[in-house]
Amino acid sequence: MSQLINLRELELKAWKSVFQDGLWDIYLGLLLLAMAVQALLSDVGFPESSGMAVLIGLEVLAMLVLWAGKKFITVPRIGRVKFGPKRKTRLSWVMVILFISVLVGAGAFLVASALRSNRPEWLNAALFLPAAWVVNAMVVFSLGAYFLDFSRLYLVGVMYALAVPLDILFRKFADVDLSFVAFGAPAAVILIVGLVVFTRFLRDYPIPAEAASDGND
Amino acid sequence: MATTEIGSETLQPLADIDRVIHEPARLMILAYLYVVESADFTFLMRQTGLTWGNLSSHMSKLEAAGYIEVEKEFKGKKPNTMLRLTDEGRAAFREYRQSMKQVLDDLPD
Repeated sequence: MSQLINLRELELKAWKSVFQDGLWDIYLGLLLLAMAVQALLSDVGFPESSGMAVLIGLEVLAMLVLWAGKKFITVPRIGRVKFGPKRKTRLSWVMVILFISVLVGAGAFLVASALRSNRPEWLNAALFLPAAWVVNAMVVFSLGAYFLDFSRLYLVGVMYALAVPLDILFRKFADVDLSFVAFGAPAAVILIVGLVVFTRFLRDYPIPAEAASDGND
Repeated sequence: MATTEIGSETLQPLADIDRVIHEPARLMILAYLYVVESADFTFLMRQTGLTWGNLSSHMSKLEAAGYIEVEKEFKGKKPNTMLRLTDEGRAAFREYRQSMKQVLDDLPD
């Protein structure tokens, strides 16, 4: 019977349905786009504090898009499910990874600041922070993809990791400040993937008439 | 007639198979509820591909057998019904799997 019903595959299919709406891709794309907007504001001479306020505002907006999308669009179409202890453990691991990622990011920033005044000969201080960004993005999103069984996160990781090296390349070879493009282009790729998945989701999963008429049952 | 006797012995566990679970649609519902903690009607309908009416009818039978329990809760002002396997349902499903596996594994090629 184990060949006829593969419970592991069944559970995986149920789990993956959580990500089949593309809303997580859209959310992560919007976060990167918010950084692009902040870079643009900085380029046109906005004060740094105003840029940060806009960044935080856009990130809150992205979170609202995710929350409202799940509540009003996804759940009425595919329903509600609570997963077992194994998935909850894996989700806890993702939380731990995200927490460590924030610590690593903050640590890298502090180290980079310290290196400006007291840099060892062998270290290129200008590349320290970008390298930390790339490694952090790749490691965090790859581990997230693994623990969440959410393979599109690998692509998201690559796109996030690309932003800072692209920025450096634009400055070095084109001698122009195109930070908005360096962050905006990878954000656009993630957003387009998310929107395609989201459109297909809306097409494949209309709201069941019965659920719409009486709530649930 | 030795072959018939061996066949009878081999297939004997089939007679003890739980018929409530053995129906394909109910088996599918129980399999999904076995791998998650709980799920609502819409989720099960999407995953199993059953119609609302069909799912509802099978749910009633599973509930009557004591294999699933229904939790009524409110999400804001909207009612939401979550379904989960009872301990009895979980044990029955596990036993069903073992019986079927044994029967199928013991069948000669």
